[in-house]
Amino acid sequence: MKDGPLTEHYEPFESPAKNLINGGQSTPNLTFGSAKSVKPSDPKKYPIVCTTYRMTEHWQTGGMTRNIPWLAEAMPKMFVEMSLELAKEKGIANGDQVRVFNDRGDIEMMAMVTPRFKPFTIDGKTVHQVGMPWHWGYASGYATGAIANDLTPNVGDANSSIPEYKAYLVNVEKA
Amino acid sequence: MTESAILYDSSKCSACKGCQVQCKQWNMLPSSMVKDGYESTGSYQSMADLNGDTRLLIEFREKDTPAGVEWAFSRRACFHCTEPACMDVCPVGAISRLDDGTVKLDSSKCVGCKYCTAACPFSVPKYRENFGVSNKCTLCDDRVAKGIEPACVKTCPAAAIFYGPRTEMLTKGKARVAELKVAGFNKAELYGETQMGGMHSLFVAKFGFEAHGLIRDPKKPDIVTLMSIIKPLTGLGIAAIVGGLGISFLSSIGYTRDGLTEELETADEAAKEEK
Amino acid sequence: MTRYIQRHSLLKRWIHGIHMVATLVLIASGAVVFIPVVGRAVGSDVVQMVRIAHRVFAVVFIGGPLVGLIVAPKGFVHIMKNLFAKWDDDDKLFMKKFPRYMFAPKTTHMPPQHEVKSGQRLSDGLLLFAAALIAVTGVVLWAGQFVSPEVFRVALLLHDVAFALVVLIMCAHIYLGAGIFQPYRGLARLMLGNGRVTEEEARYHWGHWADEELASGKNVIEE
Repeated sequence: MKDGPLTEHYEPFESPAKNLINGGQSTPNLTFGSAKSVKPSDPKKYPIVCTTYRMTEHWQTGGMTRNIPWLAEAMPKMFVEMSLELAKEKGIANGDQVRVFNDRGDIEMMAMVTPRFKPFTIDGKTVHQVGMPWHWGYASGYATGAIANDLTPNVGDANSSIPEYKAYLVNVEKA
Repeated sequence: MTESAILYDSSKCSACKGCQVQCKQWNMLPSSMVKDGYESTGSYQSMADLNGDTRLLIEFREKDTPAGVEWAFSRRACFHCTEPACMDVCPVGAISRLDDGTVKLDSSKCVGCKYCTAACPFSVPKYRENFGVSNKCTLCDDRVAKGIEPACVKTCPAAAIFYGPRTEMLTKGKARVAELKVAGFNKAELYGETQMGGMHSLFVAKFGFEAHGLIRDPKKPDIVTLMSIIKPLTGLGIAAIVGGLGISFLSSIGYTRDGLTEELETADEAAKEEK
Repeated sequence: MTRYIQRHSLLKRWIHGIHMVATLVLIASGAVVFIPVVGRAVGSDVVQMVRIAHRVFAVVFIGGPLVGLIVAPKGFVHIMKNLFAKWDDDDKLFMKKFPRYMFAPKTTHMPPQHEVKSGQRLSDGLLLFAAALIAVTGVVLWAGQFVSPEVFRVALLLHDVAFALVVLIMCAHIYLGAGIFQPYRGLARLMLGNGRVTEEEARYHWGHWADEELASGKNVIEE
């Protein structure tokens, strides 16, 4: 094992918050992909936490499911979910086209403004989170859309090399 | 024959839309094959409402409360009312009630006049442009006739949709509402017990009727009732007029302009002559 | 030698004739959908053909008078003038005596009338209103899924109401206009035939109008 066996708290490669438990910030044993993300994103430029997740209507990158009209109709558009508070701050209304971007990528999609996302208060500061599915792409399908993994860091777990695609930093703007 | 019903439990539903898609597959209803030509509702909901090619739609409604977000899922489809407004207005008798309570819209008889859509308090039957007929949920009467459950019931992975004798589904629904109340969901209620004379598609509403978009006290539109009055009234009116004119005709037989009998002068004529 | 007055022009008689045929077909086809028992008895294939015929003749129903309006706008103005003319004593007297005329005509002489009898003005006015209502609501129903269910319902109800009105007035219109009513026997030829009324008939039924026409001589024919 490259890391372990005892558990430790590390912040993700990109984080808006300081690690208050461990003396350092993130794990020193990260593995990097061949297209190395040289630096973690600057929380001052990209203060918003982003995560990716799945929908029931599509599977993986949607290569198969977006080719089925019933499923494409069930969930047609790529979107990013955000809190009412963040939307108000950025002047974004539900359904607006928005840009989500960092030093690695810049993608556009529909904004889904919802009370199911709420801002956090971390270390006395407000920290916003947005989330997006990663089922879309442009190569084929009855429904196409932006590729979420254009934004994610090429960073892997020390032991398994599983990429850290679920916690990274972005900024959001009305397109 | 015992009456059957579907029971939908919104508290178990994961809104995966399996039922929505399965209904389309079983009934061979198409989705658009125009690239990126789909409607977007700004939420997880696939489209704004049922349409000619979609007989079942999962709806999403969210409300923020101090106790947390109430994310209310709804399975929108025909309620199979015991007193269906659609059946009253169909001019060709394409809508009928089967023994088990299913309200069947026979597309082979339908002429696409859309009176049923206008009469339904929930606007459920939808017109299919390319076929010139209206359609709605059939409660899978073709499957039921073969002894198998409706397609949506079979496919649900969350065991949120059930099918069986209506009395059993009512008991089951009420028991679930009681459970939900104990768990703190005090607005939970069961829809379909008495509405529209009792429905054959019941709905456990986790957050109460309004949160799930259900009309609390649905009624046949007044206009449907008025229309059912106008028809016999018109018949009566025609009978009265034809009768009256018949009497007039009889009194006019043998009329000749010169053979008029002594006429009684009216006061006006006397006044006129004096002028 | 008899003197005739040309009461209705060729254009008027043609438009009325076309409109009349359209109305009868519309009433018959409408009845198939209006009377549930009939619709269910004839089956959906027949109903579908009937509905298509109904729409075709609806276009004729609206189009015919529209053509008349465009080709002869002065005629339209003339009709409207007669329809909304102020009622004089003879007009009012006609209405007063009308019930007796209908049920005891052999005892009743009617006062002289203008070009359109006052009773007919009432009937025509109501018929015009009912026809306009049925046409407008019919178009809304034809627009079907492009209007909201609420608008569709209201249009459906008003279409039924207008149908009732049209049919009821039609009974009287035909009874009197076609001369089934014995005092009017033979006058059907005025609108359905050559449009000419004899001097004697004109003086009896439309005394004031006959005087004007005979004096001007414009529409007088001697044969």
